[in-house]
Amino acid sequence: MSKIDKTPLFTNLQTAIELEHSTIPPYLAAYFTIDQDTNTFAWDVTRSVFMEEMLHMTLACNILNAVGGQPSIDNPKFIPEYPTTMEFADRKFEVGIIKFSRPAIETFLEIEKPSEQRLHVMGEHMKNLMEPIKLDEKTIGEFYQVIKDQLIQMVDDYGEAAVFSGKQELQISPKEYYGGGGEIIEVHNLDTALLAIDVIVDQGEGASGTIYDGDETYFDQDQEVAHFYRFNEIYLEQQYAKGDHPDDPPSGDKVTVQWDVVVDMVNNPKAANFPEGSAARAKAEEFNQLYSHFLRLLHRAFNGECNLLVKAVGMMYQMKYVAAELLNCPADHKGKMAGPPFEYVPLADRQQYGWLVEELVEELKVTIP
Amino acid sequence: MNNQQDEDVWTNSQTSVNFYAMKKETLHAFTQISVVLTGFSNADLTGTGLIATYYETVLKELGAEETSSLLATFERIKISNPEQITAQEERQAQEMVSGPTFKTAISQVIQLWYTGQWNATDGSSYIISSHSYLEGLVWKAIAAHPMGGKQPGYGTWSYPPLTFSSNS
Amino acid sequence: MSKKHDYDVVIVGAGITGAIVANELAEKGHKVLILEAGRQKNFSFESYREYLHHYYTNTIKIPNSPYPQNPAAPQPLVTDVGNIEDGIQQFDPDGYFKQYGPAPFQSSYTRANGGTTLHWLGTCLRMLPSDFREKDLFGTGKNWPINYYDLMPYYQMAEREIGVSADVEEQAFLGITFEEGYVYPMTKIPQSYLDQKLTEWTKDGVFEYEGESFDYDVVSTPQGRNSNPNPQYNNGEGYQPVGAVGNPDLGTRCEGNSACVPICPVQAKYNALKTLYKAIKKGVVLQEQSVASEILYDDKTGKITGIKYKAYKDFEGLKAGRKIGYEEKVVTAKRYVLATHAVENAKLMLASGFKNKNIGQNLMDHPVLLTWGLAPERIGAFRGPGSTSGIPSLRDGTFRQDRSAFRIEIGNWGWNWPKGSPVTELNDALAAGKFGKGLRNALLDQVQKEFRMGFLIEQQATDRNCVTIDERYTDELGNYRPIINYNITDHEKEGMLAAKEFSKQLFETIGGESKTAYDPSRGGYIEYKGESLWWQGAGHLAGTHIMGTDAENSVVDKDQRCHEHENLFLVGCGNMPSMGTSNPTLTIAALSFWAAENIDNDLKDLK
Repeated sequence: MSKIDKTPLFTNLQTAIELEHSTIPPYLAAYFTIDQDTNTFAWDVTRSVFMEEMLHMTLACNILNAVGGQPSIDNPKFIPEYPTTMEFADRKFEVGIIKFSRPAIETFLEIEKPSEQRLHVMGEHMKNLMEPIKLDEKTIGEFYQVIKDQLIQMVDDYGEAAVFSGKQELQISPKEYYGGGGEIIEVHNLDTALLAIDVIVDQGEGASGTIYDGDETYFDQDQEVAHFYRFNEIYLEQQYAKGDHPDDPPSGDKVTVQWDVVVDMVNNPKAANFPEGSAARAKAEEFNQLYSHFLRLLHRAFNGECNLLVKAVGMMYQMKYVAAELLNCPADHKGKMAGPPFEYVPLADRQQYGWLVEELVEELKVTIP
Repeated sequence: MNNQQDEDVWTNSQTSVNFYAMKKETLHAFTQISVVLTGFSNADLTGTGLIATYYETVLKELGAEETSSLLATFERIKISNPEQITAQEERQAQEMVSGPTFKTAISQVIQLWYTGQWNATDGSSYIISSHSYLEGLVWKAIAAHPMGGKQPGYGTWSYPPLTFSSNS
Repeated sequence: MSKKHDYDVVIVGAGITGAIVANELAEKGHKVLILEAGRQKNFSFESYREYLHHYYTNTIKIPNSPYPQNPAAPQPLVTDVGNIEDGIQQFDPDGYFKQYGPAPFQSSYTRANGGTTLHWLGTCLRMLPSDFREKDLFGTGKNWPINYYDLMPYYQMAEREIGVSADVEEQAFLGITFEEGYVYPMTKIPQSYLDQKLTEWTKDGVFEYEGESFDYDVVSTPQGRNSNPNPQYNNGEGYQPVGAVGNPDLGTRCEGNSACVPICPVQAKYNALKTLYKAIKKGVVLQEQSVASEILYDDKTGKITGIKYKAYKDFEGLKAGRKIGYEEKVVTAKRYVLATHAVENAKLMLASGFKNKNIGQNLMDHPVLLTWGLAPERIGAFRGPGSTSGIPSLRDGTFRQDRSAFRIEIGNWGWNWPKGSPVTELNDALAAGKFGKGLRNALLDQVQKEFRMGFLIEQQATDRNCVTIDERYTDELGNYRPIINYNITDHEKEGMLAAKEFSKQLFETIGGESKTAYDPSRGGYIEYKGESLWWQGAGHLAGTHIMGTDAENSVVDKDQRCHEHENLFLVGCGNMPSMGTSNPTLTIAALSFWAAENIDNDLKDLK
């Protein structure tokens, strides 16, 4: 049997994992800076979108594990430095950790924009979005198509068993994953791998030619509107009605978005930028620590210790509460508040911060008093 | 069961509404005494978003005179680091806590921080807001979470208990 | 000439039993109306969150604390029961019940869409086979006219509707059996750290009492709370956890909010809004702000001819002293169902002049004897659902001839129920002059070791415990307030003695420290054979219109049809001749499915 070189496939899948993750901190920042009761619609949408990004990341890990690769989560290059940039044909745009705002939603629209070539103008803000965003000169949809093609080709050349050589026990199952966003697919062959990719693409961009995300087809759920269109609903403060066409503005119920009932968070917070000894610095460091612990737990969960995913989710809850505390700490004397920096803390510098799980305690060699 | 704060449920929570409007020195003094009395760090107390709200409450309930007397007396202890008080400073603070002048007020202030509720001397009480209930420090003190909020996630109640509640 | 009815079925009450019957009948194509006394509320999640904020800002966090008191449909509150002064049990005169005692009735219920499942804990235990035949087996209490095996298929339906999490291998004890291959919809809710330690510490534990030795086990409690779906459920079809109404992505797993009683912030715990919502989508009409006041019937035949109700208007901003406005209306149907819970069902029938002498009699609750103390090491109280495990071992045995059986509920929330922890510990520490880090450490050290046990004591049906009505006691709409006569028997007190002794032995076995100490001034305190005892209400109100063989000994037959009123069905705990030692909701949910079947058969016969 000739040797398969899976490196290009592994690289693309790792990039996919990083890509899905890279949108999570910006979405979380928007979500953290609004309140469930005063901005219910936007809160529900942003929460639902980042839960789906978590699902996408998990699906990408399942695919990588299924083909014998190893997801790398806990490494300093995993998180982009914010603000990061996305490039396309005639311009770049920034993706940053900024508060919920029209600029934030505009950025999210850019990220989630469908790969459809023709885009009718739907509003003033859409005039600039005529060109699809690029990823190595591809849209996100096209990028995933490359992965699909790679898989199909390799199965053709080497057979399914050789391609999907990964251990079944590494797969994250519906048992470990919950909270909305759809169902986890355990990947073990070409069909399940392709299905997983379709879920990632359709939930983001919309099942071809519709505003819906195909969840009804996959998961027997009530039809849900794809991310891009959900962000548009926030931006235009109106929901899509059943049967609306993607090229047309939404025609459903109006929604309330209170753009000014938002924590005035400083843009792209960094722990080191807060004064030493300040509440902001202390909480920012705590946040980064918890976030790094979270990445560690994800890393271990996606590399064989599936039961740790539940613990990783628990760590995410703690991050949320510390982020809320951080948003109450002044960043400067101009009235801006601090915010979650999402910075990587190397393993050697990690400490126990109140909440921790046994497995990590071992790694850190911390003594519990 | 007083729900007068219902309308104000979220106004003081995450926005720095009154923070810079008040005299910084007074808020600073109030924060210092709160750190010592509650045993929680400046970061933890700031993180609640309630320093200004609680100061307003104390001012309203105790009155301007008693409040400034409380703060002034405390100042005289000249604590250099409220998060790490010396044995000598602790003795002086204990005198205030147990002494007849401020015993009741100090207890009320600690209860306010720990439960988000003001307990008046006439037996009546009220919770400042949903937010203040959720930020009650008693839950952090016992390494848990407020009942009905800040939920820790599925399965977490199976883990061994935390043995300390914060990095401070 | 057939009279045209407004509906095929009118159901009074939008709690779990009403919702299940409505949903099942709508599924079969029948036209159904539900009359609900509570205020109109839409099914959005924002609407539900109003309850949550009401709870957060309520200084007294009792089971009804999230659900505002409604003068048009008042609710009993556990705080209506006062202290004992000069040997006399006090009651709040503004309380909804008029209580004559001598013992306080300390349970409450909720009158709103979803009913008491809004505030229940979620415990879903099946009754034991012996529980259906106590009179035959032990000479005490009453027999049911049906048995466990009759109810088995309906238990499965209830477990599906509610969404029960449990591992079936652990649940076949004391005669309980399951169908071949049956698994629960979801796997068990993770047991708390406290449960795990207790299991370890009591593995060789034996309870010695009156010459008998009892082995006992800590067992996970089946509960209506979302956990991991079991892929084997329903012959491999699996199960989809049902999240919050109005926001289905929330609540697909328990997140450890630790507030099940009185409200689950994310609706991971089942509440009947979930069933009600399905029923409405199928065309069931839900009409709130409609308090049934009288059941109209033909004197000669007993046939129900209509339900009279008071439709009240919104009264927010009503000036003080002004009465709540309402209109009296009548609605008719081919079949009628009362689903307003045990006390209200009885009250309504009495108000309508029903003659059956068993109506209102046999009122039962589970008196809960609480004990508490400190574990030998920190177990991290105040985490997770209110209870994730219990000790079922003393739920059955020949001793039931002489004393009540009990089920032991292990409490995860420290001494919250008996003492009001952790605020009481805070106040104690402050009174002792503690502050700062000293205060924090004192609280951490003490509270993390706290746990409590609740002994649900089986109560027998006796006609001395009853619900009655009296013209002198009415509410703002002019409807009757329930009058309660209630006491506990020596049989139950003997059970409590055994329970108290069990607790003592358990604390010794585990090397912990019992801190149980009863305050003579608190409602529920009694002394018996030299021992102090103290019990609270479990929130289980039952027996007020029991099931039996004829009109002499019961109100409904085994089809849950009134003996004397052939087109009237009763559902809910009121039908239960005994509760055994299990929380009754699962059983009444099962019975509701059965009742719906019977009503459907009736309606099919009519066509």
